[in-house]
Amino acid sequence: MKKAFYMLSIAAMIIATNSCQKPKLPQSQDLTKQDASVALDWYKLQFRFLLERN
Amino acid sequence: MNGVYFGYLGIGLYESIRYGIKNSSSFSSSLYQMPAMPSIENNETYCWTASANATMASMIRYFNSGLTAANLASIDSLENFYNEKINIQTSATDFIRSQAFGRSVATAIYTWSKSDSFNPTNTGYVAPVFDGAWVPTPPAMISPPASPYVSNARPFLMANLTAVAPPFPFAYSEDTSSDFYKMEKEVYDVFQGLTTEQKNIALFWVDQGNGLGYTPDGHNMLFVSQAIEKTKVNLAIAAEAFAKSGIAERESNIACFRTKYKYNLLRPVTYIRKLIDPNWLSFIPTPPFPEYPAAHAFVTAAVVQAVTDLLGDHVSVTDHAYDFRGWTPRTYPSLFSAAEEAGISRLYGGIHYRVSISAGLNLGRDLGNMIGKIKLYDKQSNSNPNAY
Repeated sequence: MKKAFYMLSIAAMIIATNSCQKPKLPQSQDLTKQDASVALDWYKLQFRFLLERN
Repeated sequence: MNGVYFGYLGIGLYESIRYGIKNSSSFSSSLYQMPAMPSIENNETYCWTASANATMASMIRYFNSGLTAANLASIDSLENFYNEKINIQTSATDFIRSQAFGRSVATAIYTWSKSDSFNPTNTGYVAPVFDGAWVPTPPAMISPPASPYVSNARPFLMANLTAVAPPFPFAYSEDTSSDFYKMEKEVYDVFQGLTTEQKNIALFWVDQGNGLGYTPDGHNMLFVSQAIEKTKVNLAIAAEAFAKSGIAERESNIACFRTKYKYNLLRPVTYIRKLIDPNWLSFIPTPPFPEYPAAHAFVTAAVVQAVTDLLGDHVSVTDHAYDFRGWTPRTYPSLFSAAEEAGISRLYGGIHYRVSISAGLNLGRDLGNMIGKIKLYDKQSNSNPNAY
């Protein structure tokens, strides 16, 4: 019983740390490990608009 | 979207994620008349990818007026693509909070941009008349010249409120033994002996816009984007690089056009047709505004120099800007070598003097260095092995 409780607690901790941030630590999504794809994809779209419209 | 708005786009991107960077500061503490940006709620969780996604989607809607239904659908589609990815990993409340923060940053940036007095028109401008002054150039003979009021736009740097480059080094002369004549003759002689490679370089950087290709601003930012992709830097570094290169794009345009309209120097085609060859035309179209300093050299140098500390100068980048035309991509051994090629392309094109290109490169490098030195956070405590 005790072992199952510990396993559940560990699982909950893993889920919490894998979400964007841990509570009370506003910088916990580590941007140094986050790739730049979201920025690059938006710029690619902006370049396409610029090429079509200028 | 006018290319000079890339500065706002990059600043907004950085502000949307900057609370995720340890001990970072806002650009509002460094840039001229930039208002305070929205803050996050204390002790609440944020997903910075969600806030960046929301900021970029909102800003691209704000800054691109008159988008077609298909283009608006492309924005929705990209925003939804990232939202769906993020939703798998993030609680609904964290996602909504992050998205709201991102949208508030976009609104704050756009509101700020509306007071910047950027005026791309030439209405009412009268060009001065003197020996060696700019006059309309063939074949289009456009008049008044373009963008005379750009220098009135609010700069990002207080130091750039009135900055003007030193005067052109040679006094106007029609004497064949003068430095001025020799400088003009060089443009003519280069044209006579253009190699295929030189023609390719001139065409690659012609960037005439008007539905025919990128604008110079668009091409420069595309180059930075390819450098960011090549170096695989993280989102924090990429956001800073997009911001600083966008700031450099705008600042160099303001400083360059302020200088162009202070000295109002004539273009090579005017002098060469008067004194060397009455039927001569430059290899690429002569832009309809004064010559000195060379804007391609100035702006591209500023843009790449602003990100050199972040991405590294000795990064080989292949520029695929004109793949869509079937043109061979061009590879540069360093960021600054692309600026040097952009600069010399204008001599090959017959539209700039070598001395104006050198001045532009030097001015751009200095301005880019100033922007690159804006310190936003301690890189050591946010170390990234890909970037340093």
